[in-house]
Amino acid sequence: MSDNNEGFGAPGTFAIAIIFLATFIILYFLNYKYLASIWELR
Amino acid sequence: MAVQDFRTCSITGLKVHLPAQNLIIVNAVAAVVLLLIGGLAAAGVALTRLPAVHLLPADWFYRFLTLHGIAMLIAWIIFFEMAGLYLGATVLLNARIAAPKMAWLQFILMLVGTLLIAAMILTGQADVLFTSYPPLKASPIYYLGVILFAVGALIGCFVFFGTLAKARKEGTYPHGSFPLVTFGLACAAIIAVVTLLHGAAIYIPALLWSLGLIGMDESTYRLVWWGLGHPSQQINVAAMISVWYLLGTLTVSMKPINQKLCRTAFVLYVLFINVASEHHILVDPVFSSAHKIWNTGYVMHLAVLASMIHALAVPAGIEVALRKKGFTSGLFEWLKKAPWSNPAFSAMMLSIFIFGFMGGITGVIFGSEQVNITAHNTWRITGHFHSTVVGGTTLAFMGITYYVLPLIFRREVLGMGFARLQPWFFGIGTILMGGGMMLAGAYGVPRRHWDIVNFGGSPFSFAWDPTVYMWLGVFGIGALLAILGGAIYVLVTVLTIFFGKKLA
Repeated sequence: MSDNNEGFGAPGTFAIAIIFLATFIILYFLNYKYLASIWELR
Repeated sequence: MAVQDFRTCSITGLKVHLPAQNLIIVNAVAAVVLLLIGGLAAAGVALTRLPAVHLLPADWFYRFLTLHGIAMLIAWIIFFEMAGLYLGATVLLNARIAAPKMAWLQFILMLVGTLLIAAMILTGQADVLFTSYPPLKASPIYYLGVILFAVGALIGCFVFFGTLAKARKEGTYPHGSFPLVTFGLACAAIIAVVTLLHGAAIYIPALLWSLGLIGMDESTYRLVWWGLGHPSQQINVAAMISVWYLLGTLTVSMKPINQKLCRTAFVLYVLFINVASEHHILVDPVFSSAHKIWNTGYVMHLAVLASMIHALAVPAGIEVALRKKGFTSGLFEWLKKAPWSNPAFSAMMLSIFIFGFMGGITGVIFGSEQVNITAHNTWRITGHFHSTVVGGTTLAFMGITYYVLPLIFRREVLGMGFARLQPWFFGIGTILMGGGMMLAGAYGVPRRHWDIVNFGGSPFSFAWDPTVYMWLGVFGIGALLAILGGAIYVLVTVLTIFFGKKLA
C-alpha cells in the first residue's frame, strides 16, 4: 500500500468533515444545555 | 521456505500459508458461533427491556446480560481478531506463521476459557454482569475461565509478533515497513498485551478472592479492571480501523492518503488509550476530580484525535480512488456511484458513519466529567457503546468476512442477495437501537435495570415522561432489525462454508 498524496483533492470528504464538526458542536451544546437545565445555578 | 505449504488464491493472487489458514478458519468459526450465542442472548435482553414484552424473569435477564456482554464484547471480537492477526501477519506479508503449535494452544485455551465462562453463567454461578465488580462474587471457575481466555489471547499476540519478526528476517514482503493494515494490527496487538496484563493483574487476585484466600479492595478492583475493560475495546477500534483500510483497498483499490499520518494516528492509540480508561469511573467517588479531569479532559482527546484522523483519512482515500475512476462530478458523485451493491463496501461505509457520527461524538461528550455525572448510570452510555462496538467494530468485521470466505474458506458467497441486504439491516438497526437507548437514557432510563416500569415492585412509584415509551419503541424496532441482520450474517456465513461453490 503506497501513499496517495500527490496533490490529492477530496472536496466531498471535506464537506463531510464540516458536517461532522457541525454535528459535534450542536450535540455538545445540547448536552451541556440539558445539563444546565437539570443542574441550575441559583 | 517450504513452497508446498502455500497456495495462491485464484481471486486475490495472495499466497496463503496452509497452517495459518487452518488457524484462521478455526478462530473465525468460533467467532461466528459466539456471535450467534451473543445474538440470542441479545434478543432475550432486548425483549425484556421492552416493557410491552418484558420476556425474562430478573435472574435470567441478568444471566443473559452477562452472557451477551462476554460473548459479544469479548469472545466474538477477540476470536475474530485472532483470525485477523494471523491473516495480517501471514497472508498480507506472504509469510509463514511462527510457532503454529503455540497458535493452536491459543485457540484451545480461549475455547476452554469460553466454555467454562458460559457454563458458569448459564448455571447461575456467575450472575455478576460484564464488569463483575466486587462484592458480586462468581464461582472460581468463572475467573479461571477468564484467565485461560486471556492467556490464550496473549499467546496469540506473541505468535503474531513472532510471525512479523520472521517475515522481516526472511524478507517476505517487498517494502521496508509493514503494510498499513499489518501496522494497525500490530498496534492492536500491543494494546492487547497491555490490556491482558491488566486482566492478569485483576483476575488472578479475583480468583484467589473467590476461593476465600485473600481480601479484595473494591475501588482497586474497579481501577485496575478498567485497565482491562477500556483498552480491550480499543484493541477492537485499532483492529476495526485496520479492517477499514483493508476493505477500502479491496473494494475500491484505495491507497492511504498519507501513510505517515495514518501510522502516527495508530501510535497515538498505543500511547494514550490505556490512560483514558478512567472515563469509565468518572462517577466513582474514590478518585479525585482533578485526577479524572486531567485523565479524560486531556489524555483521552489524544486518542480521540487518532480516531478523527482515521475516520477522515479512510473516506478521503475512498473518494480519491473513486474520483480516479471518473466519478468527479460535484461533491458527492463518487459517493453516489460507489459500489454499494458490494456488502463489504456498504458494511465499511455504515461502520465508519455509525462509529464516527454516533459512537465517536457521544463518546467524547459522555466522557467529559460534567455530562458523565448525569449520563453514567443511564441508557445513554449503553447507546454510545453499542454505536462503537456493534455499529463500528462488528459491522466492519462482518464486511471483511465477505472477502475471508473466498480467500480462506475457498467458497463463493452463497445467497449474495441476502448478503447485500445484511449490512443495511444491521447498520440501520444499530442506528435505531443506539439512538433509542441514548434518547430514552436522556430521560433517565437506567442502564441495567430489569424492570424500568415497576422497578421490581419497589414501594416508591415513579412515572416516566410518556416520550420515553416512544424511544423504547424505536430501540425495540432497531434491536430486532439488528438481530435480523446478525442472523442473516450467520446464516450466509454458515451456508457458504458448508454449501458454497468451491473455488480453485
